[in-house]
Parts: sequence; structure tokens; C-alpha cells
Amino acid sequence: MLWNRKTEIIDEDAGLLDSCRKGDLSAFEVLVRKYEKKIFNLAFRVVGEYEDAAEVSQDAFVSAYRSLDGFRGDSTFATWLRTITVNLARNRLKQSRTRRFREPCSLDDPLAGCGSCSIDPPSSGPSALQQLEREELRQRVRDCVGALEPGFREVLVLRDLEEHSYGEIGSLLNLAEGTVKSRLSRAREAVRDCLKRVAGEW
Amino acid sequence: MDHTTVRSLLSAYMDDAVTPAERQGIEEHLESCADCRAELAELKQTVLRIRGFGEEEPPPWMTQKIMVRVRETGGARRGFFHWLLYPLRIKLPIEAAALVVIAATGYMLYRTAAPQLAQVVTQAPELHGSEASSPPPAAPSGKPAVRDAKQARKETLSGTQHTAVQRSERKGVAPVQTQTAPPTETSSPQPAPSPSPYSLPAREDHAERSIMMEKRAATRAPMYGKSAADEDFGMAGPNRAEKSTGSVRSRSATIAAAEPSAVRLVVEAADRDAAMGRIGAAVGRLGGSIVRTTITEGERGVLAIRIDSSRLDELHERLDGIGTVRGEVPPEPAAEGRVEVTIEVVGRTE
Repeated sequence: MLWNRKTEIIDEDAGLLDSCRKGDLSAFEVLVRKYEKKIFNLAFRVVGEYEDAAEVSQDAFVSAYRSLDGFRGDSTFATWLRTITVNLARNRLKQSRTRRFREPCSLDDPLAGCGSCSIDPPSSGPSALQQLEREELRQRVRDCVGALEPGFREVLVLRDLEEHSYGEIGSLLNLAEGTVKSRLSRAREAVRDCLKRVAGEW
Repeated sequence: MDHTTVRSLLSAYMDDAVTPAERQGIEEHLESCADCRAELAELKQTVLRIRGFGEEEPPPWMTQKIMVRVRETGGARRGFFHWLLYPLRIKLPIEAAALVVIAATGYMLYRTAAPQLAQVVTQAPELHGSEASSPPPAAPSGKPAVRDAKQARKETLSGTQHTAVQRSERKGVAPVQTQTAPPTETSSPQPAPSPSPYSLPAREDHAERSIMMEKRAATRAPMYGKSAADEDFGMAGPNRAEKSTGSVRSRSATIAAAEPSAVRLVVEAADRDAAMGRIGAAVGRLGGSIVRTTITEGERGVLAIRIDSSRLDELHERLDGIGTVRGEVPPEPAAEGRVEVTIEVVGRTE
């Protein structure tokens, strides 16, 4: 059943891609609407900035459209699109790091000196306290993941958020599988330590 | 397995990305090390929290912005280079259609030019043929058109007598005004029946020429008959006068104007030889004389006769009784006295 569903999706994408290649822009729009949320979130998790993520997502779709003729269907369209997105996001991350000169929140910084890790004041909305806490925690996780070095963050995002296998991450990022493994290990430990520090409790 | 090694492998162990040997070593160590068990629990918790990262909604304008940018690049994508990359199944039919259009245009151009070309081709042999049969064989300049030239030579070889009159007439290169020609206006030597600019004028004074003209006019009738008649309106003198006598006559009258030296008639009969005999008898009864008889191997025979111009109408009537007559006698003979009439007898082939 699951397999059938997946095959259907792939077939649907292939049909849409054929239409795109013939110049049918509405077919491409269908693909954009279908994948933009996942692509945006992937970009957001890698670059850590909402605006940057939006730009990276746009670039990814436009770039994919331009190189449609080069897409031979060796992988699914979704995987191909994710690869493009990850590469664009990594480039963006490097650029923004250089631009900012400083990391917003280094894992080594003492908690007091890390302004961007500050907790947003709780909103006075009608949300339940638990929901507030959950949102706060989520924000903390984002901050901690965002504080990782790009090379570590990519691996962590692709593994724990995008749920790729080690092999897939290796080929996506052009890394040896052993490197993926060790980077992931260190990234997870870093996030754990960050969360401990930020939350003050575990 | 020591403590540090186990710690470094815990992450992979969680993902079941360790070898069986490593797994065994890790599990043995975990049983005896509470710190490492706590570490593993923390890591699991961390990953759970990371997975609770949550999803963000992309900005609502993103789809539109992407499509705008795609359309902008879409223009370039559909450009010349894209044409090069068009699959053959699209490109081939377009190119084939273009080829068909080019071929059709070429054919239409050929068709437009064909009548003029054909005229050049048909006139050349006629010219040649007529000269070959003339006693002072003026060197034919035209290329020999096989059939007509042969036929003309046979006529010459098959003997027959040429009168001095004929010779004198044929010698003239420019049209000579004779009795039978329509009055005056011979100064324009070629009011050609055909509107074509390719018509060859000068040497068309030969007797045979007129017959050929007649035949050609008949064969061309569908194409040029009408326009030739129409053009008569623009002609001066006798032609216009004849026009008023009846449209049927106009064509042969025009020919007569071009060939002022003789009257030509074509008789179509079932039995050529019998018809020639009867024509000879009729000419005799009308007081005419047979100047020359030419019989070819084909279905064609030519009688050259001389007859009083006042009896031409009678001759025409008698010929009508013998076969189908094509060609008309001039309504107003150019001069009194005897005129030369060339009667071509053609056997009906059907």
C-alpha cells in the first residue's frame, strides 16, 4: 500500500516534469506548491534564518526549473530538489557567516553573553502554559541547532530532521560515511550541551 | 571497549549504524556503566527534541514569487538554444513542413514560367521545320526539334513541285504583302496571336508556318485562345475591322494578318487520301489549279492550290462538305485575282 502510494507520487511527478519540459508552467506551479513547504523548512533548518530560507527556497525552484533538461530521473524529483536546496543553503550559510563576522551564539560562549539565545517573552495570548513551554523549548532547539558550525548543522538537519540515511547524507554533502557519523555524533552532543545550558535544566 | 570509544559510538548506535561487533561491545559496556547509559538517554532525548523542531510555514507570497522568476527565465529557456534542444519529434515535423512549403513554392514558380518556356520550345522546331522545307535552305539557327524537323524534311524529300511564285514569296524574309492578306497594315510584321513576349517574329512568312500556327492556336486554345481574341481589341487596322465581322473569324484573321501571303485551311477528314482527291476535284470545278501536293507518311497531307480570290467562299463551302474545316477565308481579299491557298488535310485518328 505504502509502496503503491510512493510509486504514484513518483509517476505524478514524472508526468508533471514532462509537461514542464514542454513549457507548461502550470505543471511546474503544481510541483512548487507541492514541495515548497518541505523545501522551505529544509532551507530554514540549514540556514537558520527565515528570510534567508525564503530566498534559498526560491533559488532552489528556479534553479531546478532551469536545469530540468539535466534531470535524468536517477533519483526522485523530491530528492533532486533537496540536493539543490542543501547546496544552495550551505552556500548561503557560508556567505552569511562571513558577512556577520561573528556567530550569534557559540556553543562555547557563556550563556549570559549570548544575546540571540535569549528566550522570547511569553505571549499573553490564551495559549495553555504547556503549549507555551513547548514553543519555548522548540525555540531553544532552533537556537541551539542554529548555533552549530555549518558542517555539523547540515549533517544534523539531514539526519534528525530530514531523516536521510548516513549514505545519503554522505553523497549529498560529498562526505565519507565515517565523517558523517563522527560529525553527527559531535553535533548531537553539542545540541544537548546547548539545551542544558539554555534551559538550565534537562 | 573503553569508555571514550563507547561515547563516540553512541550516536551511531542510536541509529543502528554500527557493526555487529561494535554493537556487542557497546551493549556489554552499557550494562556495567551507568554514566554511559545516562549519556545515551540524554542523546535520545536531544534527538527527540530536535525532531520536535517543528515546521515553519513558508511566506505566503513564495509560490507567486517563484513562478514570476520562473516565467522570467522561461523566456530564455524557450529561446534559440532551447530550439536546438527541442526533441526531434517536434523539430522534424516543423522542418518537414518547411520543406514542403519550399517545394510547393518552387513548383508554383515553375508553373508560372512554364508556358513561356514551352512556347520557346515549340516555336523553335516550327521555325526550323519551315526553313528546312524551303527550297533556298536558309541555315536554320534554331535547335532541331526532332519530330517536326524530320517531318519537314520528308516533305521536302518526297518531291513535289515548287512554283516560282512560292519561291519568290519564300525568299522574302520580311512578310510580303500578297493579295489574300488583309488590307494594309502589313507594316507591322508580327501582330502575333500569342501575347507572349517570347514569340519569334521575323521568319514566319513561310506557307507551312501558317498551318503550324493554326494547329498551335488550336492546341493552345484553352490557354491563349481567349486572350488572343481579346488582344485584337488593341490592334489597329484590319484586325479591328474583322473583329466587327464576327468573333469567330477574328483568330484566323489575325493569323492571316501575320501571314499575308496565303490563305491556310485545315480540313479534318476520316479518310485523308479520299479527302485529298475530292478537294482536288473541287478545286478543279472552281477553276483553280493544284500547285503542289505533299503527302507525308503520317496522317497529314498538304495541297497547295491557286484559285481566284472570288471563289474562296465557295471553296470553303465545298471543303465543309468534305470534312471539318478549321480556318477561315479572309472576308475581304486583299486583291483581285488568283491567290494561293494551302489546304492541310488531317486524317482523324480516332
